[in-house]
Amino acid sequence: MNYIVCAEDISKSYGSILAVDKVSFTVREGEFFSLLGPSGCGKTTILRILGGFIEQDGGTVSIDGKDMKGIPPNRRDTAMVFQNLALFPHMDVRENIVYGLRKRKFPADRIREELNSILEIVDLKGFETRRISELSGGQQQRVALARSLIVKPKILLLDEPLASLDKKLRVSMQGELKEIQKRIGTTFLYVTHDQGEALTMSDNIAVMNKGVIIQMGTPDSIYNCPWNIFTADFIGAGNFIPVISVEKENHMFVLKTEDRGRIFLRDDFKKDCRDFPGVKKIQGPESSGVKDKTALPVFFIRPEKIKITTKPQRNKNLFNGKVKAIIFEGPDIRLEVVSNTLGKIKIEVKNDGSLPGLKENDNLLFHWDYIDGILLEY
Amino acid sequence: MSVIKSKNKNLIYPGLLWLFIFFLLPLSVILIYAVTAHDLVPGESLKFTFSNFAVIFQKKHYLIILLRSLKISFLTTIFSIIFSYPVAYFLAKRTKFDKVLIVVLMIPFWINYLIRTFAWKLILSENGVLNQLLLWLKVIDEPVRVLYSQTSVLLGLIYMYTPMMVLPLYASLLRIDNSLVEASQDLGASRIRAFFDITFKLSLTGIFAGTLLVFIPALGSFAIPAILGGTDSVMIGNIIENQFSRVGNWNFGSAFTVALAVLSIALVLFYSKIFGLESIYKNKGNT
Repeated sequence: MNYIVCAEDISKSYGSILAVDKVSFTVREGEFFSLLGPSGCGKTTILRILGGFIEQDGGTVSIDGKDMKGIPPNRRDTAMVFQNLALFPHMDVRENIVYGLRKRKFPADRIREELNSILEIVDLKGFETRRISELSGGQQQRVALARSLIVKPKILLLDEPLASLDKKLRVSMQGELKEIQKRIGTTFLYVTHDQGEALTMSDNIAVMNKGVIIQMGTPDSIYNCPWNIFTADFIGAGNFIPVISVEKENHMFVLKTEDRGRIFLRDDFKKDCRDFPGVKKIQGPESSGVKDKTALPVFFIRPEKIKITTKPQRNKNLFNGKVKAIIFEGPDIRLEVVSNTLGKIKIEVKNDGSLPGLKENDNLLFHWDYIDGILLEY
Repeated sequence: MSVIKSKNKNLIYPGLLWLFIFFLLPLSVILIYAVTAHDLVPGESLKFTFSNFAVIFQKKHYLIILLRSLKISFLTTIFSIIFSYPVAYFLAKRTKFDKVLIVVLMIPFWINYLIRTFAWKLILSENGVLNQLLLWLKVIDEPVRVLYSQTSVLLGLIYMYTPMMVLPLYASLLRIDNSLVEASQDLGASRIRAFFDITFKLSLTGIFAGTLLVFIPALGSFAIPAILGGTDSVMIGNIIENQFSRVGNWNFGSAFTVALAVLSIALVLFYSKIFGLESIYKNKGNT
């Protein structure tokens, strides 16, 4: 396996605030790797350490096998796309894009060649002499991308570059970014707080909270098998049902809820989860940053795992509840149901005409399989 | 905002009246004096003439003074840029106490500038602070004569107008996003290269504004050359002042005033054309 980035135990604090706490991770060559977490979780700090803009307090970073200690940004094989893009306002599109090549003293004809090929990749032909202020948000985005890609970095560092775009443009830029990344094969290290963005684009995601990585793996492993409440809650929607007791019967956990509900969960769920393909082992303690270990465990299930039924089902978790709200979202319909034994439950069903005439305050039956859902501990 | 504006249009009249009485009226008096040969006396008709202006260009003496004034103002501007850049850079980029330090920088302005100029006399005179210090340090054997020369005028002007350069420069440096400099370094520029490519180029707007604030007043200055200068450092301002207060030839003084104003405006227009905002942010077609 060829690791282009190896970060080992990197730490950084600002005054008394520990921004990054002994974080280790590796990125393979050609990978689209995302650091995902809420603002202030230390993800941008890690990116800036990799770019050479700040020095870590402890730990080592190596890029392409070389220790990066003390090496300034201009002598690193990294290029950064800044959150505010940082396009040079006093230069036109062409001057912005070729800036890096000029600093590397490329001959004029090489510069022209490289410029033409990068303009093609980011689809900006004909915009060379435009001022930056004359471009739309998406075009500025592509200029920033081109300016960084033209120097052929080993790793492209992206610091929430899509955050300033409106939703529609953001979604289309996500597709474009992913496509460009596939085409040129450069390793992308992407920082974002938008879980949708990370899920759609990444090959691997590291979920961060309070300066530590709390889970790493492929997007589907992160979504389907969160290891802790933070990841489960941060990524997608879900039902969190507090459990007051856990008993084991044969190959089944029996979970009791506060309101005397009983949930069956197959005992191999967790093993299944940890061995999920694409799950990366994290060195160091697994921690969600939550200190209170005495808190009750929680049963977690995604809204789309819950099915609605009209007749009782055997060998399934079956409950009834009253519909409190119906939210129509086009392709999906979200229901908020209150169950006497489970409390509030979110259910998401496809808009396939299977719910004729469902109204608020109707009673309904819902169920899920014994293997679905996860028992999360803090 | 627009509601406030549209509903209170009448509020503009006091302002206009003020401008008329204290700005337009005196200015027109000067303009009339400049193109007539005698004092304005009620009941007498005006005789239009260009002779006042002709004198300025006929006498070599005046031309020398004009060129000298331009030279001194130019040097004042250059040195004020050199001295203020590090200060402005430090204030904008290297300290958190910039707001406080700017107030400190402005403290001298609370003291009348004539008094501050007389203070320079004490520093520069033959047994002043500067000479005493140099003698004590054994840099020189006998006192040097700095006072009453172009050098002392230049020192006085630089001292007086450098803060005028610091402020716009500070403002323009403050506006430059640090990520631009980081992006430049990230793309392969050394720290020094990044400074000249990004910080310096984008701060030209501040230098431009500061230059106007320094050069124009320096060109018209008369108190500093009068107090610190000698016979070789008479400036346009001194001539004008002389015509009004000693010679009593208001017509010629007004003509010189108008000539100085026209020269200043022409220089500003020419200067904006070459170094203005447009040229900093425009597309240059060189790859």
